[in-house]
Amino acid sequence: MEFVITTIFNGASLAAVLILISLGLAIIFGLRGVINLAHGEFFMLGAYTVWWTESLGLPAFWTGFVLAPIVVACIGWLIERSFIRFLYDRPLETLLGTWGVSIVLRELIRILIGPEHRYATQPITGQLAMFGFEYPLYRLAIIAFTAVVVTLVILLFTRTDFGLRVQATIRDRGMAEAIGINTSRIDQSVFVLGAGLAGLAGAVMGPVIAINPNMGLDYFARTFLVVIIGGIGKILGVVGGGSLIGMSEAGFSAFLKPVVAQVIVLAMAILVIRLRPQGLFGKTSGSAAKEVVSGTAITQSKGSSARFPSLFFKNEKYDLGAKYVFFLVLLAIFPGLISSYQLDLLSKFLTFSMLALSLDLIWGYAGILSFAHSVFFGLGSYGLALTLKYWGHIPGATYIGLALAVGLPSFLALIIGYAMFFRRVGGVYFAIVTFALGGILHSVTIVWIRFTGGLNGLYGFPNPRLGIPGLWEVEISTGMVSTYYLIAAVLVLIYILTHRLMRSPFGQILRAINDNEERMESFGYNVPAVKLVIFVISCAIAGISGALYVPVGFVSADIMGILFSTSAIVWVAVGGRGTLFGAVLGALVVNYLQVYMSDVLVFYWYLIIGLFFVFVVLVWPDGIIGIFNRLAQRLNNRLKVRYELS
Amino acid sequence: MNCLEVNNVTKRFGGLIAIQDLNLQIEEKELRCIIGPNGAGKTTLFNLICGNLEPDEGQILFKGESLRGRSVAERSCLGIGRKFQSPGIFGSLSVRENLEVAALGKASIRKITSPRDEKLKNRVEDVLAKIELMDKRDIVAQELSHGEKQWLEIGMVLTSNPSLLLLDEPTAGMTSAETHRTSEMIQRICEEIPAIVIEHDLKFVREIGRNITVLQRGSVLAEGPIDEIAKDETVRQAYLGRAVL
Repeated sequence: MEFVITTIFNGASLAAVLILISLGLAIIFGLRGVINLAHGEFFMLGAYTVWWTESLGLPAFWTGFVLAPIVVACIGWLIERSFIRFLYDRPLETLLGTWGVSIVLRELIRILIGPEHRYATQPITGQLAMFGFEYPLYRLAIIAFTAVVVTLVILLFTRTDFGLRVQATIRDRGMAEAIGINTSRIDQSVFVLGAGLAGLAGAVMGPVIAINPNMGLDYFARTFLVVIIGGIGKILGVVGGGSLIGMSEAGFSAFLKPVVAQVIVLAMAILVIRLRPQGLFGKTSGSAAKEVVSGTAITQSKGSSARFPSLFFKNEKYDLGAKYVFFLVLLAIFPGLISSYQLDLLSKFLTFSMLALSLDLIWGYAGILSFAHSVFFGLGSYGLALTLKYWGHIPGATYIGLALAVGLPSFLALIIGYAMFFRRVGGVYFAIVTFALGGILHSVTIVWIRFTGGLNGLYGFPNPRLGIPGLWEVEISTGMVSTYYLIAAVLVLIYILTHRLMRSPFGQILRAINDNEERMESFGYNVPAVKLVIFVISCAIAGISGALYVPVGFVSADIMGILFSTSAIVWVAVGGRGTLFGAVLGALVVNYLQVYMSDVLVFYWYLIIGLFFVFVVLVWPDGIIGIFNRLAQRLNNRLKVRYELS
Repeated sequence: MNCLEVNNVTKRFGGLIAIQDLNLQIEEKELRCIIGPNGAGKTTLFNLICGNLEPDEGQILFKGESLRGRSVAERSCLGIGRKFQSPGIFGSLSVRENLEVAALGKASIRKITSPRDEKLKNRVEDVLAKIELMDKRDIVAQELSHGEKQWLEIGMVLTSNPSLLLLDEPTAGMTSAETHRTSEMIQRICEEIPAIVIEHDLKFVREIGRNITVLQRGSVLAEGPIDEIAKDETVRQAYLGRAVL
């Protein structure tokens, strides 16, 4: 009995926390269709404010409690004014941009305050005794407080003049402006309100959890699921979604490991999306959010990911010219020029290039942004490494491992893709689901140490062997020239194959789908099937790159992580979306930069990446290749003018 | 046999009768213009033919076959090609690529992933010539002028090899020079394929100079050669003040 009641209370208090954090996210999303990936960091900043006021010796918790929403709201206001307001019409870019902001905030806290865990004292101690068992009073207070806040927010949106204006703006922005509502002011207020609510949630939770720079991330993936399950843009939906997720997680945790519980909840969420894309509690939601779900809103953001001619030549016919020969020769002669340490480094980076290439296939061409591409890379790595660890003594184990390294990612991609694309879940919504997927599978990998080695990584498994099992085998290990050539050859092969595929009508079809999905359907295309095909291909390639990484890299939970996914996005963005060569180049450039920067810069590395994201979305959407192209174009024009003059 | 027969079709939206007991026959290789004031039911008629709507009464026969119960996609496969009012081109693809994508809608996955064959190339070249965009084939579609986008849209419908063309206001927003070119283009195309053209621009209708149908409040007000229609007093009244006719 006691066990049941405790579980229910645990569920309720987890639900309360999730609801409190999700509220702000949901109202911002409901108004503008913008997912604020820095929302978890607003939560974190709220908690830090409480810790900070306490360390200043101010009257403990309550000052911080009042201060936290104000401080965070101000930060939110600054970010909205300086950055996000320029991106409202480009939801996918907002995702990247706010992810950049999130990294920057996290890194600033890490650098300025330190990565250590901090603690705030609980304002209410003591236990409530009832039915012969005890429960912490403060947790009960959180539940009650959440109920009050939710009620106030609902009243604000349904009973006040401000709420009416927000509703009008959601329904029809143009009309709202025509009757004199300052919609830009509304955007601002709602964003600030959302940020403030996150800050409040942070303040409330601060005393019961370890305050650290990453605390926002821990909650964020689940917060997404709350908003998705609850139905987008519905405040009551958030309450429903939060309760459902909180309760089921607490319920499962009572019998299973917390991590397993999280995975089950994630699987449930994906199932919900498959069955009811509008969420359990949503009917047809606000227009902006609906567009985001169907992916139509993305069509406005064309300009940036639009069209990319080749690097040096305008005419496709000469495309297989100089740059490839140059690159191939470099690849071929490198082993003679550099040390074996350097060779390993390059081999590793080439596997990253392959990952970037696979991401570019879906992001650059079809406009499908995945925040979980590292998961597919990781599955490839673990598929091979674990096979070698357990069955390494069996001849031919490498081939089983390779089959798994391709099979596992493809299978997962098939499930996710089927659940999403055939339900018309695209664009921002898809990216968010992959974000949650990445976050949760990452924490599973970290916690499941016995199997995965967690953050310490896998050690002491035999090297993969190729050749004829039992008769003639070649070991693939670090520091060997043959390993390098193998990786380079696979990369070149995959490049040629994907390049041909993208040059075939299939590539055009992907770009056309990215342009206008509905129109493609009217021409008789099965758009979800096309998306599924390219997604599975992309994830299979990610798996191959992960497998090739095994002999040259270090297999640990890090390669499953969202930060690694983020890096892959950076590589592609640097190189230029929509050019396969750009993606390959981008991965090499960024990784060498990272290696050859001084130690000081390494300390600031993620801060730089975060700022880079912000920079990319605002001013530099088409990467290195884009710059080359613009230069080439200008040169071309000048030559043409001169020619015409003469 | 007529290419298209609309027999006693009625369509209601709640209390509003959008199409009332409408009859329309399109012969092979006929080019028919439909005019009528706003709300006359022109676009509803297209929606009925294409399968976006089903008639409440009456039937629509395409090459002698009833279309009832067939989806938009099925009718498109049967050969009914429709050009919408607003251009739905793919802005980031080149003109040629736009046409190729439109042509491959019903192709197998093998065909899609292998290099383009001669047949496709020829078909695209053929259409490029018809829509007079041959010298702009490698230009990105979003950089075309408004008129050129409309032509490209017509071309995209053409590449899917329709046996009946439905054109909804092909000259909307065009300059008068462009309108003139469009009317010539459509006449050339319709030497092979029958077409129904909804048009507001009476100058354009006059240029085409074939049989026209005047719709009003969901039924046929008048039908016949342009010169007869122009003299018709009731039509003049329907177009009150529009002395262009």
